[in-house]
Amino acid sequence: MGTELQKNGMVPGDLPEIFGMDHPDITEKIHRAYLEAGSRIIYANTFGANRKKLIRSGRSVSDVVTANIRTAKKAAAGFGAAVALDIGPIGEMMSPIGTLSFDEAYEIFREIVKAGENAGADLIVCETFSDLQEIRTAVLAAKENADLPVFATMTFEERGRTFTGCLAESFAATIAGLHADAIGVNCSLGPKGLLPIIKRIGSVTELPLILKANAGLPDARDGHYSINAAEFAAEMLPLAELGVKFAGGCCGTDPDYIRELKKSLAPEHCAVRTVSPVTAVCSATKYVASDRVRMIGERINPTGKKRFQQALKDHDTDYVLAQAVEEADAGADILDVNVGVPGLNECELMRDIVPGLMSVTDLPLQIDSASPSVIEAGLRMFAGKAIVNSVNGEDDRLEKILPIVKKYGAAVVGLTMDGRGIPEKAEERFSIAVKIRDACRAIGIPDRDILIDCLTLTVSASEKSAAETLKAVRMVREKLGLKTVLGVSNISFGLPERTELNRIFLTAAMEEGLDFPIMNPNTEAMTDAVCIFRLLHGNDPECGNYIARFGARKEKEKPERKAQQKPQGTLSFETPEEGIRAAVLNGQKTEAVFFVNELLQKKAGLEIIEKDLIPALDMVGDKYEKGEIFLPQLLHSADASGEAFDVIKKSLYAEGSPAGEKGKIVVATVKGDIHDIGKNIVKTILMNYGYHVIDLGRDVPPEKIVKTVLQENAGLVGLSALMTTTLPSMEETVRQLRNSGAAVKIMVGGAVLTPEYAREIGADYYAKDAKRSADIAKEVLG
Amino acid sequence: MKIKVDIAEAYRYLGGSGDPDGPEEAELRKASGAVLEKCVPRTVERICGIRQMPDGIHVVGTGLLLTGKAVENLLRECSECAIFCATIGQETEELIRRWEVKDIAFAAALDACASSAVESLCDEEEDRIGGIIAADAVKYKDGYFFTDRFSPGYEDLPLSLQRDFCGTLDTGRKIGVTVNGSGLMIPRKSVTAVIGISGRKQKHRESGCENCAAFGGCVFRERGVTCYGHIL
Repeated sequence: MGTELQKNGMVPGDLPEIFGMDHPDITEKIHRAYLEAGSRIIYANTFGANRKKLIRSGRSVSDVVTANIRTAKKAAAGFGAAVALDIGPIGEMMSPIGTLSFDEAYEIFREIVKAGENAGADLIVCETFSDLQEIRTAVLAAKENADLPVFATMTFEERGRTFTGCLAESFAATIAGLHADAIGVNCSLGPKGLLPIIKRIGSVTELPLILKANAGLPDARDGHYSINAAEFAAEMLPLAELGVKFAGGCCGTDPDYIRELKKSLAPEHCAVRTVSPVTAVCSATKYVASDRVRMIGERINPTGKKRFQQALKDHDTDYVLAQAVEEADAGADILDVNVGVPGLNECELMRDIVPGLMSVTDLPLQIDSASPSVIEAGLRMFAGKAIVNSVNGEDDRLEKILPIVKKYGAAVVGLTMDGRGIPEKAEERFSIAVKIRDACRAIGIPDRDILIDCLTLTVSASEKSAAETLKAVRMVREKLGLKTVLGVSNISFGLPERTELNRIFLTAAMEEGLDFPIMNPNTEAMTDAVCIFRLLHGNDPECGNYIARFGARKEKEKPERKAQQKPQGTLSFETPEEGIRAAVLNGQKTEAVFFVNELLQKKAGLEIIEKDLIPALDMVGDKYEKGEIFLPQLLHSADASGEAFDVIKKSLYAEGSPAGEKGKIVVATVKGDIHDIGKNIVKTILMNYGYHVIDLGRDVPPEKIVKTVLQENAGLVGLSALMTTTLPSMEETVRQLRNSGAAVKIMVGGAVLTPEYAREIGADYYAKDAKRSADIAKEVLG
Repeated sequence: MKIKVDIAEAYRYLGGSGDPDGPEEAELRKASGAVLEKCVPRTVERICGIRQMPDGIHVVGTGLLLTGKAVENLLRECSECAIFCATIGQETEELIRRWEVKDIAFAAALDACASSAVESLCDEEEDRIGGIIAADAVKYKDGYFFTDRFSPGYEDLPLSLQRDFCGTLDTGRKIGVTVNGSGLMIPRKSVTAVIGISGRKQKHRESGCENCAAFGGCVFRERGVTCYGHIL
């Protein structure tokens, strides 16, 4: 449409939707040309008609959409063709990649959808998206606000991923899960380039397929596209064999291309597709099929973990994310996420943590909660196909949760228990599995998305239960053909040598057919067992993974013996006080931990912090000021001190005493800015000096900063911004903080800040680097 | 595109002076390897005529208007320019973010290496544009010369022009670069720039402190060194 409008007088810099609205005759003429060439679905001239892109035009989304749909309908009337509301990307990236919030993006799409439906569109098409989160927001907005069919196409590079790394399979699984009516690809490549991608999409979903290709690739110098209409039609022929239902042309094509296409592709040639999708979950960039044992990491769960609970109370998101990264590095395939702590708003926590997790790991998530609204909150935010943990045999639970699972196309864990508890016999657990399966079938959740958990009881309390669990797993796999999940750690509760017991039970369960163990991937013995099992069952070509894992291990010492030995650099120190000072100075984490443990045997934690850690940090800071060391060394020292600090904190929590932190500091990168490494460096330094730092993250609205400062009674707030264009946000934040009456001191920092500007906007301090921020904290909070 | 990471340059971004040694160098080498593995370099460019007008320099065939004294001086002897956008992609952002929660020192090293990588990509893109120009032997039979590359945000070329650069180049659709509400390009490790094309040899920015935009407020000079390791 854009190219055709330019041929008809539109100048560069004009918006096609506005030009089209102001020249309806031209627009109608273009539509008609396509209709005469054989198009049976035309996309209205509404691709960029969103409030962000229209902002300079002064026109409303409603007016622009209505006018352009009307024009298209006028043209289509004589041909009995359908008119699609065409929705393209907003033009800004959504969080966590960018700064556009889910709610704002949803609202933008909702506005377009409502206008389109009111104007009489026959269907909604979301096209040319490269971000999975954005297209699923558009599809959700379409599904929830209009009663029209929804088509969805993304644009891929030759490597089979979009610009943001989204896989063809992940797109298919996620958007089919949201019940789009047709799915496919448009733009970027010619038909030849897109065929492999549409094949991959077609193997994952039964939905009808769409292929809207470019006329080849554009020339670097003049922009001319490489293939002509006849060549285009020839390249599109294989579509018939693939059973692609909807074919069209994108950039570089014109009505002639459609004419040629119409000649070569006849509806009767379209093959009938048979697809057998398998059990799989995914994130945008990682597709995890159940083609081997897949480990679900269980560590993101506050139950029984004081440190974790404290982290959630303190809004210490980084702590939770660090757990996730650790599990991912240890080999987990999927991460269970549970943020239920009594007294905290679980829904809000889930809404915050899911995008955070998406920003540090590409693993699919398992949303774990007893509350349907928390489950929905998690599923709504997650860009991918997740697992819901869980339903069981209770009608109430099935009724409340299965519709949510269905709506978002998730997989669901079904526990083989009900209101009466966990049945003793395998046969009884099996019948609950049948009940769950039937309930899923009744609502339309496919068998492949049902994962049955036959439940592990602790063997010390219930001797025969292990055998019953294993039997139940085998029955479910063989008689129902459903996948199985099992939390294995429970088996050994209350007994010694837990790891060995867990490991053997895990192996036995895998041999009975367990597909998804829920386990601690940080325990090497457990992931070893899975690695070996995969090898023995033909999932490790050339023993590659096995050799990579075990080959170097002979040379390494056994972990237990290693812990008893002193770290290398520790032998030459007279006292542990000397040792810890050197460890911090030299940025040696292991040595710092060693010495702090020695010190804890004779001194109180708080004394160590005041008398040993902080003076050591002061020495480091001094060297930094003098230019004897630079940022990397400063950070290594801060990290070493941080490790020691963590050891002390853990022991203090275990005793039940407060961590003795010296006053609260709120830090944030202001709205519109996502640079946070500087802010994170400041946070690390401040935490190591013993302050309680509340990190609100990046792109934080002023209101949230004010609210937190007031709520937490923080004495100091640190604001960071990296660009001149985000300074107004900082200014606004300072203004709102002052207006709120909070008795808080404000320090500002960031590459673009100067002492003059800091004064101008009313900040109290200008922090030129991380060390200075610690000095300011000392001045303000002591 | 073959992009590189300059370890010494990355060290400078971290506040270091001269060449890093020992553990610092090892860490930067490791970071450099990790960054180069994740980079997905992409560029898009346009070569357009320019018209110097009272309100600024109009880039012909686009809606782009370059304003300010700096760009006026830069393009004084040019009849054409190349505008481009270069990015190393979203994957590197995720790499850095992941390490921020694991080991912030390494994350800082990654960040610095990524900045160096995108500069290297800009150098490659300049060469590429040179190749495109040189292919038109007829038009440039008397030779052609480039100015320095100049980006929005330098001197008095407004940072807010970044949005117009990206719009003109259709970076969203071509290379996946967008501009957020505050004018920040996403992925962050992206650069937009203009290069003047002239029939006459162009003056290039001299090296040395006196010619640097940071002269007068330089953190290195404050400490008594230069960014390239010279003691003052």
